Amino acid sequence: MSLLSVRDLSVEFATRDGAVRAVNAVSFELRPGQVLALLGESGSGKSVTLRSILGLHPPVRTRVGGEVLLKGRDVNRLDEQARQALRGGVVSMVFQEPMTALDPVYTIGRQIEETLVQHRGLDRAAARRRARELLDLVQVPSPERCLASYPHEISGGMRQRAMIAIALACEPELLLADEPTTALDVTVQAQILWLLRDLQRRLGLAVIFVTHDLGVAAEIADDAAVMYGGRIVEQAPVRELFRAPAHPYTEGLMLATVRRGQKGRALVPIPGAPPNLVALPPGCAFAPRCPHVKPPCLETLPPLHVVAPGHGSRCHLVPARFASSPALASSATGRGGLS
Amino acid sequence: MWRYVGRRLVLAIPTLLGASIIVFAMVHLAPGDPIAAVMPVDASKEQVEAVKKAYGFDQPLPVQYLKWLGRVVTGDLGKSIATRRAVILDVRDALANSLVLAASSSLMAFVAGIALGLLAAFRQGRALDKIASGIAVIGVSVPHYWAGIILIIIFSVQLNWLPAMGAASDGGVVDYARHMALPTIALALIPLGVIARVVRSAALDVLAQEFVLALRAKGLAHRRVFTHVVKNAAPQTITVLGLQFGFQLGGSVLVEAVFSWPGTGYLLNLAIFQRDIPVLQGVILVLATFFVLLNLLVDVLQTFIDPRIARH
Ligand SMILES: Nc1ncnc2c1ncn2[C@@H]1O[C@H](COP(=O)(O)OP(=O)(O)O)[C@@H](O)[C@H]1O
Ligand SMILES: [Mg+2]
Repeated sequence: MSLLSVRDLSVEFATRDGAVRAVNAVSFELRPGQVLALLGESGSGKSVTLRSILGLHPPVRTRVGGEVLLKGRDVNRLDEQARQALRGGVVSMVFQEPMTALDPVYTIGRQIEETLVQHRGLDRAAARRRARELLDLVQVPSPERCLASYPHEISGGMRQRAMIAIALACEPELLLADEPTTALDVTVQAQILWLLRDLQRRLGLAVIFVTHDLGVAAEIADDAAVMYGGRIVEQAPVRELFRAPAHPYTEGLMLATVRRGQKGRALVPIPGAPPNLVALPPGCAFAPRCPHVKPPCLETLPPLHVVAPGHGSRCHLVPARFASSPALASSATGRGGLS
Repeated sequence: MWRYVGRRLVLAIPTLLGASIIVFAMVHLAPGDPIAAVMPVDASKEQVEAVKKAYGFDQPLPVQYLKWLGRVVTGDLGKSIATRRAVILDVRDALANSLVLAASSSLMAFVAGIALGLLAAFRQGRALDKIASGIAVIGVSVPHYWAGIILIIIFSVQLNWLPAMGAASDGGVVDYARHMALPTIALALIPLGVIARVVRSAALDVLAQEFVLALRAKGLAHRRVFTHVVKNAAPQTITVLGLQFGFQLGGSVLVEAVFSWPGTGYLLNLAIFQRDIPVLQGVILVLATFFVLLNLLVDVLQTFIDPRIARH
């Protein structure tokens, strides 16, 4: 059984300028222990997708459609208490900027302990012991000092380790990591990345790892999904995606990214701007920026074409460009994930 | 921490000295001659000189000031020109009455203002927010002496539930409290509105921060998240609470006049109309000292709550 099953998820925010369609008909599955990289430019709906998994959206002016099944239970249909038990207990989140994601007026120790008190009902002494163990787990060099520190008193790397300790406090099965290294110094980025990969393997965690760094995705993930304009436009096992991208946007992302062993190659930015989520076009959202654009791209939404087993792409050109691929015979349409 | 408190206390001394100089200078800046006010019109020149000498008005100003300051720090604020009573006694009684009124109205304003502000913030954009914000706006925009008069008309004149005047010092606690009720409400209105608005905006600032989302993301119950928000909004709130309490002490002149409440404001009023300079000086000096100490207390409290404010 899949740990997480997102089906036809849509999220819309009512704003002064109109309805912002941040996430549109997103579907995917995650097995226990699987690592999925969620790629895409900023504003493509990655963070909103993660928040949907936690059932955390502003209470007003937000419309959520579709299903988010966590261990078979729809997050959006649960009462608040059941959701609170899931959050931190079954699925937790690590944020991009640990400085702003930690409460500045509580010590690190208090912030780890309160999570344990909430979910495990531990007393203060037991919670403190466990908090110390957790800081050991995330390899904080002087745990006692870190426990007594306020967030502004420790380094960015330590803060992110503390954030990870909080996320792992109650042994969740799914970790949502929203660009957990983006805000850190380059040298620290690698350390945190290795720590997360190590923890994922040791604890058998399923992880959704949001990044716009394809290199990071290649290091850590089994599969990758590429988002554009609130949609998953391509999804495949990570190697497959790098070897044979089947969506012009994915190709563009690769050309725009530095990759190991490709030093000296010129970076080509994708021309144009991301789509306006208030007025998404009827066709493919990437069409206005696409070098291969054809008339149908502007008119109808591309269905999900299966390029290879486990590899799908929402591009009208897949049949023409990958005609040799035998898997195309069974091209799927409309909704539905690949797994 | 205690070194910080000590340093702040030392730093308060120049402020207090400045206040004392201004208060001392008042005697010489105030229009009219205080001596003339108490002397019979047909007093002889010798009599006037004798009185001047008795009050020390014949010496150079710096000497007068230092002598005066020396007396003030030992608690001798002189004698009232009008009543001949020691000023310190008048001021003490008035301060006690004002403190009681300031405390009761502040308590009312703090509790209602904080509750209203938090309610509005946690229900932002909804009906409750609009109602709470509306009450806050009315609170800050209605002049409190006018509100006092309206309260007297309704509760004393029309309904005859509560007394309108004085402090009933001879009666028991219940009588005192009954006399206090209306001025308390009148005085609470403005700080209630101010506090509600400050608390609302402080709480909204906190709620917009990412760590609130992070707290929810780790499954914290609402009441625990609420505690986090309150603690983060506290430093800003305490600042305004301290200031408002200070205003309650000094700013109640009109309300005390409306209700004839024998506090510092009432005494100040009386002293102004009677040209009773020693009383005026005493009241202002005591109030100024209170403000300085209150500010100090607020600053110290803030550093206790918010670890990011440096303590040096
Ligand atoms: N509460 C909200 N109200 C209105 N628009 C929002 C809200 N949250 C996110 N958005 C919009 O949704 C889009 C997707 O945001 P996000 O998921 O944060 O992108 P990213 O892929 O960079 O994480 C952005 O255009 C963002 O402005
Ligand atoms: Mg994001």
